[in-house]
Amino acid sequence: MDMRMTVPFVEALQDIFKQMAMIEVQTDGDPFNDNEEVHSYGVSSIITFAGKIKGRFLIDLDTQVALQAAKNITGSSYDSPKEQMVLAVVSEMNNIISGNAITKLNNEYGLSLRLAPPIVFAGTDVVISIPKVASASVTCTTACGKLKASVAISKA
Amino acid sequence: MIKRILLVDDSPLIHNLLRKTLEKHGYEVAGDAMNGKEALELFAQLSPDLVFMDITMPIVDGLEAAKAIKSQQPTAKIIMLSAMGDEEIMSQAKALGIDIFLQKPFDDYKIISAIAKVI
Repeated sequence: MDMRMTVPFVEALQDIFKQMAMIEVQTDGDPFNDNEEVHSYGVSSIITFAGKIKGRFLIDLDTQVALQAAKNITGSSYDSPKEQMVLAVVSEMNNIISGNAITKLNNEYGLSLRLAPPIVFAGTDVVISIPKVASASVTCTTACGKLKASVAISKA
Repeated sequence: MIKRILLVDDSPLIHNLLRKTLEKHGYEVAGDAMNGKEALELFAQLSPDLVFMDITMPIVDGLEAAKAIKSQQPTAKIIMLSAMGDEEIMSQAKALGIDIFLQKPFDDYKIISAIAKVI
C-alpha cells in the first residue's frame, strides 16, 4: 500500500484527539504493512469510504483511552465502554478523523471520496478480519493507554 | 424572541454538544433529527429559525435533506456541520444555497459566530 495515503489519517488522528479529547497521541513508529487480524484493545470503530478508490479506516482503543476521551469531551464519567455515549464518542471521533483526512486526500488528489456512517463495537474478545485488502497500521501511545489506527485502500 | 434551532446529525454526541452550546447562549433546541428523513418531517412540523445539518447520515443524507428543505422553503436557514469539507462537497452545498459550511470539530465560538451571521 502507498504509505503516503496514511499520513493524513495519522495527522488527523493526533489533531482530533488533542483538540476534542485533550489527549496527546504519540506514534510508536512508522506505519507498517499489516494484514493480520485485529484483536481489539477494547473499543473499535470502522468507517468505509469510496470514490475513485475505496477503503476503510479503523481505530482501536484501550478501554481506558475510550473512557478518558468520553469524559474529557462530554464532562461526565463513565464506568463501561459499552455505555451509549462512550460508543458515540469513539464513533464520532472516527468520523471526524476520517472526514478531515478524506478532505485532504480529495483536495490533493481529486479522489471524490465519500464516507459511510461509522460502526463501533466494544469488547476485548472482538477479532476483526479484513481479508485480501492491503492495509497499513500504526500503533500509538497515550497517557491513558494504547491505540491502533489502520488504513486499508484498494481499487474501486 | 428566542431563536429555535433544529439539530440534524446521526451522532448522539453531536446533539449533546450542540445542545449544551446553544442553550448556554440562549437558543432553544426545537428538535433532534438523526437522519435526513427525520429532518424533513421535523422541519415541516416545527418551522425552526435555523437548521444545523450533518452530511453523512443513513437513510437520507444531509445534502439531499437540505435540497428538499430549500425547495419547500427557499428562505430556510441552514448551516452544514460536517466532518467533510473538500472543495467538491462545499461547492455542492453552495449550489443548494447553504448559508454557512462548518467543518468538524467545532467549539462554542465557531458555532455561535456562525449563527450570528445567519439569523
